[in-house]
Amino acid sequence: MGYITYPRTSGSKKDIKRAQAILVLIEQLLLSFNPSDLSLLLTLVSRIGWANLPPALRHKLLQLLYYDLFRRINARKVEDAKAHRSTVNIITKALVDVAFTLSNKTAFDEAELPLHEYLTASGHWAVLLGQKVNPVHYSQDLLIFDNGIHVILTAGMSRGKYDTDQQKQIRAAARLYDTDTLQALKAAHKQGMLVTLNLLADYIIKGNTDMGYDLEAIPKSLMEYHSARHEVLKLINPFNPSAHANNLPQQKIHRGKNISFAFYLTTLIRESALSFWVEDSQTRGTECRFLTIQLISIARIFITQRREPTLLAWSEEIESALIEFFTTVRVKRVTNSSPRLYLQKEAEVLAACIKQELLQHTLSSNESMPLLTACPTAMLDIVTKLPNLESSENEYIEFL
Amino acid sequence: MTNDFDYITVNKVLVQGGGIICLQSYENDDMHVMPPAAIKKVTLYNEYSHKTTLFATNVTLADITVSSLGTIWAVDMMGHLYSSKSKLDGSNLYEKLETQAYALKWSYQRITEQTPVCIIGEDSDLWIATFEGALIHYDGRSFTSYAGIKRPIRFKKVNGDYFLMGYGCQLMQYKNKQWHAMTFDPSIASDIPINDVAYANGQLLAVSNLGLILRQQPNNIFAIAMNMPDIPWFGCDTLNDKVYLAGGSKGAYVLPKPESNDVSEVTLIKQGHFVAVEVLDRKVVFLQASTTRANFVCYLPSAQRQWFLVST
Repeated sequence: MGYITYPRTSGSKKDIKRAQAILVLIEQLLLSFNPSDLSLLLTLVSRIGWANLPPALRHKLLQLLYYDLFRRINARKVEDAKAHRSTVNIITKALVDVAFTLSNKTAFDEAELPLHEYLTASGHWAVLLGQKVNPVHYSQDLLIFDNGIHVILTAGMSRGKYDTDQQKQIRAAARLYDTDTLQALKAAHKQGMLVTLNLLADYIIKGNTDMGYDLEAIPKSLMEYHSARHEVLKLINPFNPSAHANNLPQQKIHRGKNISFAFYLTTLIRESALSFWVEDSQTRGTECRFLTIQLISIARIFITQRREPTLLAWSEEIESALIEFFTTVRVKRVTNSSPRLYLQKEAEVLAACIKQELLQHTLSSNESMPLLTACPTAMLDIVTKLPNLESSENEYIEFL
Repeated sequence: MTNDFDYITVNKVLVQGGGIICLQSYENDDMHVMPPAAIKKVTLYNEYSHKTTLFATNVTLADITVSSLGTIWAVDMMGHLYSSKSKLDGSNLYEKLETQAYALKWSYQRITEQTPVCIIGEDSDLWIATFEGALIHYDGRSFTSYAGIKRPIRFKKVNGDYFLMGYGCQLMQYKNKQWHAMTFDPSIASDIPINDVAYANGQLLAVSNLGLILRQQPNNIFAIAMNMPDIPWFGCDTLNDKVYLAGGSKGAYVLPKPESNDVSEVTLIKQGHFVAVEVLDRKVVFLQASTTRANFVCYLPSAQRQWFLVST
């Protein structure tokens, strides 16, 4: 059996032709705006194989698209502001698509860089991450392109790639960003230069009756973003988005135990720590016992090495321990199929997510902990006092 | 006071001199790292129980065992061995270790820099399995390390032989002074935990909390006898040829006819959240998970009042 292969140059030639056609259209559009030229240009932009272009041509084309053409079209004086905004928004989406297409997903995952750094590393544009002044859990992050495009990063199961309800996102952003960033965001929205991108749109799996995310395919780097983390963590059942690590009266009634995602360092994150439920027992074979063994093992190694580990060192050990927890002990129950343990890739994404949760939380909390200096607070929490035990005679209670 | 703790669970029960030795752990919601532990003795009478605290430590005890001479042995997760007799040398791996002996002459000794998980044996023939995969033997004087299994779950003495089981479909038997790995049918997934084994009507049964009940075939290979994906089997033990099963949050079960090749049904005998079952002195003891109180559940199949909650 053999395969017929074609030289890649034929694809490349086609793409170079498309690039030339785009150049012509850009020239025309820079001279005078014509909706049909723009429509044709956007079709070509969505179809072109960017990877097949010679680097110099690709760069030239992207510069013209992102800066010259984008600026010219924005600056047009038109009476129908709504239509103008809609046009700009269409171009914005097309350009954001190109930026993300160019950042090849596999390479992005391997690089393990934050998205804005990875986008910037392409060399075609500079992208910044909006700096929050009031970090709140599970609120959206913001990417700011240097041509004025603003991208709010969201994640969700039911939405398409671009969410249309931007007012809601802007209201959320108003609680997070400084006045200048917020004004820029509002201005971008007014001009159609704001899009709301669903980071997990490409990883949704549709079953017969339910929907889920393909955990194996989600790049770990996306765990940098609150919205993506929140969606992924919801896959761990049962999940308590609002439970506090050490204030869980309702869970006691529930007769369960909540392990804080950042369980080892729970005293550092008393407020708003997320948690998931494990069987509360130190009996052999239970989840809680396995976690206890792992955590004492980590602590014991630090103690015997006489090290005061950094927060980063803790989080890395916790990440490895969690990968083992999910692949060895934690049973995944999916509707209509047999229970199984988590696959390695799934466990890696969940553990990366929990690690980020821990790091981001301490970075954003008021009692911010430096990542690379020793973290004695965590060590203090290892032992507790002896229980004061009382023994007395007791009647049997009938167990009903 | 014990009520400083949010969760107290009984994690192991053993018979000693007419009483039941219990291993307890004490946990708080904001203290997940090193639950302190205590060993108590409970004696059951007709209408009441008598409890005696024997020992407490601020380092989590991983497991306890009782030798045929009545010595209680324990291992903690920092690498110490404890004995209810004053025979260990008191050496310490962790300076913050605190112990309190309430009864008996307890002693301890550092034995390993790995994490001990379980212990079984006699005063001069003890076995300790570590999380990292070592099998440490104590002959009453010195310690020798052998290769065991990584991620063990527990030891159990069944029909006179010691078994060691663990995650990743691992089961070993101690026979002719050696540990042997037991084999499983290739249809059984290699990542399932083996949670417990029991002996009934001349056959070994093994259970997994992924819903499987396995049976050893005449060719010594374990094959699937029952697959109940909804029930996490954490434990099994035998009384009067009946196999009692701890089915996690799905309750307590009995396998009525384990001798039949056609094992096709289990019967629910009690609702509850049970993660272990031990037959002790003609009583079936079920250990509870997700409880805030240090209780265990006792089942007396032939008594008029069959089910009791015993506080420790």
